[in-house]
Amino acid sequence: MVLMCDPMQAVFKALADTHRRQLLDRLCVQDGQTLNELCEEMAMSRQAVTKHLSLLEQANLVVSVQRGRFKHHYLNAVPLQEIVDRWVDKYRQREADALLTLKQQVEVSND
Amino acid sequence: MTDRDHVCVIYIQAPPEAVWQGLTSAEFTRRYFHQTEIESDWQPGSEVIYYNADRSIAVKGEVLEVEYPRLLSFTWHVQYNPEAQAEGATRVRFTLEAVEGATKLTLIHDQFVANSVLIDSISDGWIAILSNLKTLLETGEAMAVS
Repeated sequence: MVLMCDPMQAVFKALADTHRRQLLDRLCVQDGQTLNELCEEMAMSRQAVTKHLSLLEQANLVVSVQRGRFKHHYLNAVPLQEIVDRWVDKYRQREADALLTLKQQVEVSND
Repeated sequence: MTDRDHVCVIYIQAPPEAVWQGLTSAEFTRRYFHQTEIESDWQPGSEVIYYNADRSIAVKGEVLEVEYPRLLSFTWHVQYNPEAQAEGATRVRFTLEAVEGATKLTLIHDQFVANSVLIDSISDGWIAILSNLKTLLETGEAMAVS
């Protein structure tokens, strides 16, 4: 299993695709969507969406839960937190948060 | 009730029995879960309480399902914040699966009220807490979480 050999390899591979990042964006807006819901607004076949979701699941970035007839997909931020924990210590995290907030405020006021 | 649930999965390099102990014993929770001490006799129908360091109650609930060391669920009624407390009891369900020497720990936290404020605050909270549990079980030390 790729996941246990080098979990981060699977995460970076999964993130290295614009469609898969788009799927994560969609789950970030509304968590727990079914395949049908996720296929709406995606300019690709159902089969392609399934394949991308499967890679995201292998990387543990998406978790699916079967409920009755439908499978619901959830964004799992744990592997992303592990990336942050690996390279950003708590002190630098606060500095980075402050800079991100500033960036967001400046960008909003420029709209 | 709302359709919104919080689901997360973390892989911990420890056997399910050790992860179970991490979830159910005060000696562990105080080191990774905001210094709270969990208490219960872990019989279905019994009370489960997370005590703060000052012995005030952070969270209380009722044990629902216990299948050592695979499944643990209980209701989850937040007491630390009046707004969240007013939302009433929710439910947490931990499943533990042995995977290649590690444990796949899945948490499903559900049964939130419609327009729950609690669900937004607990989502980030669980990630930090479970990452902390992982670090504690794998290295013997909890990370300093603010």
